[in-house]
Amino acid sequence: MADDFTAPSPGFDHAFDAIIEWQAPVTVGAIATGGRRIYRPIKGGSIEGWGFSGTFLGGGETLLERADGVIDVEASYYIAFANGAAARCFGKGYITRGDRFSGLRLALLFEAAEDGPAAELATRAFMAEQAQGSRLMQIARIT
Amino acid sequence: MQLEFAMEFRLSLGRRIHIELAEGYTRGAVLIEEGTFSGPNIRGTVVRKSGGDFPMVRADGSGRFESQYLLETDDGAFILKRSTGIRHAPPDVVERLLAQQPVDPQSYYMRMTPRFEAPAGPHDWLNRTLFVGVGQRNPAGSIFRYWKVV
Repeated sequence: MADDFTAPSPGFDHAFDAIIEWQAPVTVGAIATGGRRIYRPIKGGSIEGWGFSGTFLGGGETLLERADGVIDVEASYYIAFANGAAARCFGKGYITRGDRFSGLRLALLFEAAEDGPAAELATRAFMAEQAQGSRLMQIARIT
Repeated sequence: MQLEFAMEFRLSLGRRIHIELAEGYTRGAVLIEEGTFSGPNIRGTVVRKSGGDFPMVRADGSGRFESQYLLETDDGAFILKRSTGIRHAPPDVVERLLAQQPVDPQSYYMRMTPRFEAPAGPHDWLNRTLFVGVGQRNPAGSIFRYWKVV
């Protein structure tokens, strides 16, 4: 590769630990465009880190079980922080089973009021990981 | 989570269109003329005029990126690439970026998370892998490097 690329290499900086509690899933079933559609609504949960403490108010994950065994995940979580700010955390990812990792990984962004105490969250990109069988979702800021 | 280098893209850009949606909110369209990509076990070209980047840019220069275009690998596979990303930079840096002046890539935050749809076969690992990307604008076009999350 040419050496004219001077942008910084990315990395991960741990930002949040989250535990989400779920309501019963809604199974739509096999759909015409392929796969099996399921929705998991949030019941509650907590998120801590990067100077924030909050609870999950709602939202959920829309899943598509694909023919190749991978599950597509579209996440949209609504969070109330203890400092009074509200935010939406959203993104896409996969649930996979493999030799090196089994579980959920999500690429995430935040939406928050620009004049509020959570505004900084909307200026960065994040990556989340939840190992199969674990309730803990670890969310890292992409540096 | 760790990152492993996956591929580099070199793109030449074509027409730029700006749609003023509202005061301070612009939808851009940066059409890709052509490009190449390469990484361990994958190499190919961007299908000419198959898409571009369509960023939502704010008056302060912060932005969200949404790109979509087609790839063709050297072994004949077509792959759809979609990417979302975010840019945040100090106002003076944004001013130079928008004026297409040289800017130190270390002076702003720009990250993207591309996704791929590849046919079953040697490249189908792309369909179950998340990536983190970094971009750099050069006078001749854009360079992106992507790392896979492992």
